[in-house]
Amino acid sequence: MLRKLSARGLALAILVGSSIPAAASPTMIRLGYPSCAACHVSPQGAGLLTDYGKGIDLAQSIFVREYNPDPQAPPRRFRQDVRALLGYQYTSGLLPAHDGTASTDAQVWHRAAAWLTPQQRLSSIILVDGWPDDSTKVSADPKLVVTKAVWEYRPKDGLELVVGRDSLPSGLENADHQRELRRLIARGARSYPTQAKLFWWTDRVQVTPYVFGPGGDEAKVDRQYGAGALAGLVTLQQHAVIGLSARAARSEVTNDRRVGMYARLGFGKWGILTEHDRIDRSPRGVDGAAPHGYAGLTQIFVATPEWLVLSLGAEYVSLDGTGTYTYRLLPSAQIRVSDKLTFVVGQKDRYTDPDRAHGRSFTVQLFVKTS
Amino acid sequence: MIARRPLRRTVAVVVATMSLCAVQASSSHRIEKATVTVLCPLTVGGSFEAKTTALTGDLTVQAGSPDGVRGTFVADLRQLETGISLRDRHLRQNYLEVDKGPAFAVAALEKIRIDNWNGAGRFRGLLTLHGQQREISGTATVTPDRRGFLVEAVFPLKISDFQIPPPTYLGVGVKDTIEVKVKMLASAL
Repeated sequence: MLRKLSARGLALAILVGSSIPAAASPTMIRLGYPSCAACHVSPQGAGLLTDYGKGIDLAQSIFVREYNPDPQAPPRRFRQDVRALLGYQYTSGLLPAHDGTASTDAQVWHRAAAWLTPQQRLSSIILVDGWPDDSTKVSADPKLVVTKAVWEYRPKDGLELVVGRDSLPSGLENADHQRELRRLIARGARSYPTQAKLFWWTDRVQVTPYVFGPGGDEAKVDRQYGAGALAGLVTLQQHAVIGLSARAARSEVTNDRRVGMYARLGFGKWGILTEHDRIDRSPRGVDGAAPHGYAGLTQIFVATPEWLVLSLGAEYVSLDGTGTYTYRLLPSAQIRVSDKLTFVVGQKDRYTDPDRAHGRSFTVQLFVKTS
Repeated sequence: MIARRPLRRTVAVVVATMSLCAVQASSSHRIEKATVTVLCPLTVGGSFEAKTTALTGDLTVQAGSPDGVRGTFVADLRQLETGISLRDRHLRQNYLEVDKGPAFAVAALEKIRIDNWNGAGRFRGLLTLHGQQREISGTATVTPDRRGFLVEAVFPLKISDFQIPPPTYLGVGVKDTIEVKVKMLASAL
């Protein structure tokens, strides 16, 4: 009985915990934006928008209007906004006997950037997470997480050094997928390690080497040190980025290695995003081959009209040697009502083996921004 | 069944050759299917494309002058689309100024000379855009087709040459040199 209950709890945790959408918009490659730097303050994307990004954001809304900052105003030395997520989720059983469960969600981000000089800035994102406690289904106390606290130095366009606490760079910047990999394969790996990373991007290449260490909020055994790199080739008239990724990390108990490829392609109204990794995790000091994992995500999206992005993702994660695998089918619709209001409706179907379980969650989320 | 394949191939070659010969002698053609793509690189990296299929024109290849074409290609700039409707409006009204009159509403290419009517080569012509007329040149690949010929042409142009105001939006601009690609099928009349 206890085993069944814990399995049920795990199943719910899996479904609930994986329902947060990615904040980045790699789908913009369909319009010829192969990197995030045109619209976002940070070249890694997500977070605060530049004036141009705000203009594009508004231009792709149901209520299109001009963004008209004062052209005479001096360059802004400080930008900030507050972003809030209100979500409702209904989860039906991953286990056959499990009844459906409804839950609500509330998260608030404060995002800020201060320019010390035209080339240097300090950026932060603070998350107040009111996610419910999965085991009891009673709302837990809000949790405060610093998801980003970095110093950024851009000596010239196309080159930026970032040092501090942040999420690690990845090929698609799909937070949901990265969370899934940490949960299933690289357990203990943290979301926001301390790191130093260099972004170099041109019309032809995008290269991001990085080193990282513990974020400070993990258990001693999970403190990871490592390095990695992304290297992408921009092609098809800026409508495709095809790249390779690699990462190595070690903690007191494990050695992790990850190699993979990714591609972002988009042509007008549609596109494909895909990322595939082989992830090896071996216990330190133990001889013999360790089981390795494989993870792949492919997402097809269509944006017609401009304010509606429909997507269908398919994800596969396996742990070779254990016979365990998980599929997820991820249809979603993102409706950009205005630059301040976005609805996301999504469904997640999860299939697991060897227990042949199927679970489904349905989410409705409302994102509100202050500026 | 086996014998039909070579026969079809032979017929296709003959038709294509006849079509090419027709072009080289003197023949009239009409643009039937066309796509004009203008690639606009941004100053911050990345680019956007403005596209239209509204390209029309009748042309005659002059007898005895296989590289000379009489006729004009006309692209309707009011139908250029970039994937973002607000940007379409800016492009047409603020920069191309299509409401200023017929000379601004369309881009016209005439006095076209193509080096090679069967394969890759160079071409040049006289482009009227934004009320200004300038000579342009680029590459063109001509493929004889049973209906006429397929053309894929690419040429660069400088926005400033045509006195188009430098396109900028919220601090991001379009570089001065943009690239125009034309794909079209010109069917024999």
